[in-house]
Amino acid sequence: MDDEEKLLAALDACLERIERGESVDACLRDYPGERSELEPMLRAAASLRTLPAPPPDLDAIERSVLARAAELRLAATSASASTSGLPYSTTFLIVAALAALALLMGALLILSALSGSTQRSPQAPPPPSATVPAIPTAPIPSASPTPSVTASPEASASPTPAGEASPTTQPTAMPVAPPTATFQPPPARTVEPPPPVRPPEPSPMPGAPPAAAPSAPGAPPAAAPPAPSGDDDDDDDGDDDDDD
Amino acid sequence: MDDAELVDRLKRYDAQAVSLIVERYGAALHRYVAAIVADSHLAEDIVAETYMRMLERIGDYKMTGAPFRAWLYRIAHNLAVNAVTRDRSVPGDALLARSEALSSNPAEAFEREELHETLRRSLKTLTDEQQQVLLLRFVAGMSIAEVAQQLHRSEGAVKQLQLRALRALGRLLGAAEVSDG
Repeated sequence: MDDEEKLLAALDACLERIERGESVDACLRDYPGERSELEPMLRAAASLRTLPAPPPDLDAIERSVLARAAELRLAATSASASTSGLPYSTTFLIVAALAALALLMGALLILSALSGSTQRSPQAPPPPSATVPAIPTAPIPSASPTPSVTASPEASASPTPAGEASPTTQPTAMPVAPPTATFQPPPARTVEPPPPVRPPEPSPMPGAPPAAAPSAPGAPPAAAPPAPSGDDDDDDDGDDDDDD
Repeated sequence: MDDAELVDRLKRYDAQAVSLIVERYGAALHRYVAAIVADSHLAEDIVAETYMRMLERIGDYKMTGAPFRAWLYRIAHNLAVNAVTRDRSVPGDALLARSEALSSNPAEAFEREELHETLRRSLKTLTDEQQQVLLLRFVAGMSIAEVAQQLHRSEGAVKQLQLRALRALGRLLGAAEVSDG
């Protein structure tokens, strides 16, 4: 055991004895070899024990702490009441599940709309090109090719409805009023409209002049479907004009 | 009431538990804090603040085997050190005045207070860890094992820290006596 370890052991023992009530001198007598180093240390420790601290006003401290405890208790009670028994995480999960369900339903609706618009009847072969939607109006020189999903004129030629409020329910009205206010199709001059198969019903008015569409026979304006979109220009120009 | 039950009731802000913990540790905490800030009134404020912080954080407290008071002392220590750092000119006069008022012999009180003032000045020259060991051991009255838990050190390390701190403090006090004498 080196000097440092001896000193450490002597200090340990003396501090313990002093804590039990023995005097510093009595302890030092038992460690003459370490006395010179031990004595200032023991006196410093004894001084620290006598550091004055007037007794605190514990009543005042207690009062302020109790008041704070009451505030916290009240806050905790009202917080638990506001959650009305449902844990926070459970509430969050329910909201998240509802949001996910709404998203899923929206996606399904969009998918069904898309699939409905692209669906063709078995009798009607698909148009030669996806950009050739104006097959039934092919006799019209400048049939406006409106590839609109819901109100396209070509849908009127299809015997099978296109899913939702398809104009096919009023086939005769379609060439008359394809009012597309928002969609401006690109110029479809390249489209060759060879009608591969005629639909079971004859084209509503193959030779009707476009401008006379509303009064065309077999196409009562009142029966015109509320086509929400589509270029309703009948000016045969084939370009995307504004229909103000 | 043991620590586990005390903590459980404190988590419900039980008034009886609050009174109990103030009564059980209030005086010792005050002594500890007063030794750091050298101002009895400020020490009282800090002890009250320590209990407030305890209540605000008790929800997150977990029993880890260490005594509950170790956590309290840690809060108190941090608040006291912050107070000293915030205002380095904290006077020891307030403590001196209270101490003198309590003594019947002014001359004796003056001599004793001079020693204590020297002690406080000397303490401040030690490292933070050494100061903490000495205050926890000889002011708060903790055992070596409790100090070790408090500081997250081994008992051997705490003994070494205590030896070095007492050696330095003894030299400083001896030098002060010589210069005064």
